[in-house]
Amino acid sequence: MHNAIPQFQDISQLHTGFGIAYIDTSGKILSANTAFTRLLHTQPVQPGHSIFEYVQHIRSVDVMHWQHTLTCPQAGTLEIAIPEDKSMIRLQWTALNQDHRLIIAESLPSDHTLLIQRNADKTENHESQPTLGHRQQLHQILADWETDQSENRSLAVILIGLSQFKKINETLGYDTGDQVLKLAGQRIARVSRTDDFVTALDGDKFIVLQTNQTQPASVVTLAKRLLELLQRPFLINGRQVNTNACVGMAILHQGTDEAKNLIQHAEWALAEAKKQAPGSHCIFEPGLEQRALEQHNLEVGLRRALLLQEFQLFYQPQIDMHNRKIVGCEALLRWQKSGKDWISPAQFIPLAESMGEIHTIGKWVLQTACHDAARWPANIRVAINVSPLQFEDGSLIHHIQRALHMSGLDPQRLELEITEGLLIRNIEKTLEQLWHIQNMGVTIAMDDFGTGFSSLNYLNSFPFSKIKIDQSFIRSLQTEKSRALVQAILSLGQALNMDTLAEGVETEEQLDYLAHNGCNAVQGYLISKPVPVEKILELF
Amino acid sequence: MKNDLYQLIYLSHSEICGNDSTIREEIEQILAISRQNNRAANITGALMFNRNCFAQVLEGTHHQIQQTFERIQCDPRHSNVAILDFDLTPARRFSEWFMAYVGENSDTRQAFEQIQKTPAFDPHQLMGERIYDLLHTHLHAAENYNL
Ligand SMILES: Cc1cc2nc3c(=O)[nH]c(=O)nc-3n(C[C@H](O)[C@H](O)[C@H](O)COP(=O)(O)O)c2cc1C
Repeated sequence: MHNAIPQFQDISQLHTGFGIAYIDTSGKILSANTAFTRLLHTQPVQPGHSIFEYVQHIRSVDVMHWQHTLTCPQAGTLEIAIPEDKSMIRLQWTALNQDHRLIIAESLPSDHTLLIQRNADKTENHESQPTLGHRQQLHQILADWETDQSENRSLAVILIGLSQFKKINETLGYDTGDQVLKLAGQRIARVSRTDDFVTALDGDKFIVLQTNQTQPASVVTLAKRLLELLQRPFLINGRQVNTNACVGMAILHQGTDEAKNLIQHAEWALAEAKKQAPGSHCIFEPGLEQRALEQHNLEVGLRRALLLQEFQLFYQPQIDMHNRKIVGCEALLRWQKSGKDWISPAQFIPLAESMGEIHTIGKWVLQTACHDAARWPANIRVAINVSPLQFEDGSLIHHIQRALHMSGLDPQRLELEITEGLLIRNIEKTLEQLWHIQNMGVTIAMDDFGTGFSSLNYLNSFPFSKIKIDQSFIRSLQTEKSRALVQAILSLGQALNMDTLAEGVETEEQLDYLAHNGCNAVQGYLISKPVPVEKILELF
Repeated sequence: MKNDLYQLIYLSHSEICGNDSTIREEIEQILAISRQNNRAANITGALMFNRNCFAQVLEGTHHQIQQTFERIQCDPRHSNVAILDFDLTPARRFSEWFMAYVGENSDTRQAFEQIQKTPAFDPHQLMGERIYDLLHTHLHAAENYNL
């Protein structure tokens, strides 16, 4: 098998806009399609003949240079002017193995007169930017990769996905978006090795194919460099434009057994990297496929969950510390996917936020909770969690008004729980909405207090009337540190004239401690776990 | 738009390691290539540096600045590029391409004096005071601050 001449498929009948030819390092043609003949304006290209017979008529072809180039393993690009119709043809060649080359020919737009030679001395012509290879070529390389040479040749794919690209298109226009893609592609090509193969994939993705490198060290080094470079500013249309990227990688024989699966595996690794922070990179490993599929199923499921009525609100009672009576209930969202698994909010809420589904889901929660609470005794409130993202499009106030109006619920009985995360975004716009909401009579509670970066500053300038102490502090009340923190929060509440509510109360000791230290209300398993709407009425 | 004059000012951290002579070699190389390329692209401006930082002003058309900046961005000899200004400018402030060492430490200053002299640099006269002051302050602040 080792010394066998690889059998290339006959591509003479391959009809694409590109000319494709397989040749050996001496220039002998193994196979070529008709588009190749047409683009070169020559007699039909026959297997067994030398490519040099067909380019004789093209004066700009430097035969010596070509002969040399064909023996080099590096991929390269060359542009030639065809005298017959004055067209420009770009030839891109790639080494398929030691002895064989793949050439892709494509015609260039007529105004494209620059002679671009990616591997030639770049300083000669500084207008020339690194060019990207063609997509078709990528698939050919992967398809033709000979596994029997695996012991000494490695193959790896780096898939680069720009983040927030949609946002650039939306806010700065498609022209800016296109230019970001163009410049990003150039940056990637510029810092890749000359024998790396670089191409753009659809949308906002790029691929770098690395051959004969020590992996994974080589892809990881390049990935880090690319990520760093792509977060540097671009200068476009008189502006500074910033973007960010994530990278997924797949390496032959290191988790991926077949070359043809490399791109798909890199896609899965990219999906995994995107789940982490912007600027992350991830190498494919078995198992990621499963996770990516699960993630995909979850997304598909989440999109139709509302329609299929798979969401349900559970309510957890909150009691007043003095008379131990229920004064309110926190609405908690539950999702039972396809009538089977219960998916935890910690898992699906961030997903809904990233998918933009949080708006419709948030609206449903508001309406349902107000509707339910309107049937409860008039002294019992309902508390609803609101995602910071719901403040972004400015429609939250309208949705609250509508939910109150439709259910007939007294605004005083509605409480919104917001997290500290809200306060890092657009502060002014958020504040304006918060004040408006409070003026409607709705109360606002600060959720998970103490876990983020809340400072006295915030509490003073925002219209909160309640602080919810995070359950992690209550759970660890036996420690000195937690007790000190809880005491501090409680006295802060008193000083600022805000109500305090402790979450996650599970034992009598915790309750006693909180009562003793002036906490106004509590919620937790000691009182009741969250229950479905039918059950909550029995507790009142 | 095509021929409008733009000005770009940025700061970056130097990644050049080594002793003074290695630094000097690298800087001389940057200077040489910049002279050649910038003249061809009709770009004027100045590059200032000290041990830790670069500060650069580029003047030229949008296209030429963009292309030059893209090359500079990919240069591993610096990192953390922060753009201070990218905007239209009514006229060029530099007649050519200049380079200067801006540092307080007298030993390093001596080491780089050679370079400073070569392009006959007189920042006070040539540069808008505002830019000069700005960059000067930044560079001084960063000089003794190792990142
Ligand atoms: C701080 C700094 C400033 C530079 N300024 C310029 C410049 O003004 N013009 C220029 O052509 N190259 C400049 N270079 C060098 C470029 O980064 C690059 O090495 C050079 O243009 C050659 O590019 P090439 O290898 O793609 O041909 C600078 C490099 C650094 C580190």
